[in-house]
Amino acid sequence: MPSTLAAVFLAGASKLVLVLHALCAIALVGSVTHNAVLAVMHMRRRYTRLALARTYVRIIAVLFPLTLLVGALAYPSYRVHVRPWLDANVSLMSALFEVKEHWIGLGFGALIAYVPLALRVDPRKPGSEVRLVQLLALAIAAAVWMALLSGLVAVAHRSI
Amino acid sequence: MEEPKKQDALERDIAWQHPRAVQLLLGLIAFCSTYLGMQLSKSPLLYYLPKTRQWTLSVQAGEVAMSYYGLLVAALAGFLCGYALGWLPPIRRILSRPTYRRGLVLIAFLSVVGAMGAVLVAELLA
Repeated sequence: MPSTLAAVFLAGASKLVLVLHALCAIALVGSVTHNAVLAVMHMRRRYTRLALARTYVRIIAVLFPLTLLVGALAYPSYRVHVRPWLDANVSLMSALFEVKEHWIGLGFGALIAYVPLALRVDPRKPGSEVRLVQLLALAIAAAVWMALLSGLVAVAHRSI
Repeated sequence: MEEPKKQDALERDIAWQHPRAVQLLLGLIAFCSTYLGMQLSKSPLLYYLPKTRQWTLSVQAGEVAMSYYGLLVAALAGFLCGYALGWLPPIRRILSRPTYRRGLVLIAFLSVVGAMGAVLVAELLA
């Protein structure tokens, strides 16, 4: 391994970290998708599986920061080893990967407000707060799906 | 008798279900505004230099630097400021008025979606 890469944080374990990141992301995408489906059902006034919806919120509250953290551990290797190659050869992919990072960052901010609201708000009661919780569930799901797809495409081009 | 009932229903419709909703929503708006503002203005941030494993506040041309961690830290600080602002009783009282509640919810959602759209456009045009 070249000395530059050896100096990068967790460079020796980067593939293991990437696999862990992918596993967390797969579990997260499943939970945000189920959560978004339930949010749409609640928008359409079909108030079923309210307890399950709160369980998904709790799972997302754990998995989202965990996935972000593991991804952040792999990021230095990506920045040194993959990003320059993408910039030189597939610049659109590099830009999309940056968008993914930003969407996840903004999704994390949304999550901080979303989790306490979603655990407290009763979708059967009227109020603009209820609609916000449902729309944030969709926005978070969109960010996670975008991240998964762009991450997969980036890895298909070049991996750490 | 009909009028008070209607009024009660209206109050229920617009009342916060979460006691700290104002703080959370102001925090969310501040998070997204800080994130977007710092990203688009290229403001000085805390940078991580992956090759040397150092943290710095300024980057020299040609140096490989990562701004993502610094951006998240700045946005989290923004969230805390927004949350603290919403904790102040006068602000909370004003934003709990019926007229402002729906506006605050709308701005909170638009700040998330707007920031996502803005970074998408900015990155693809860069």
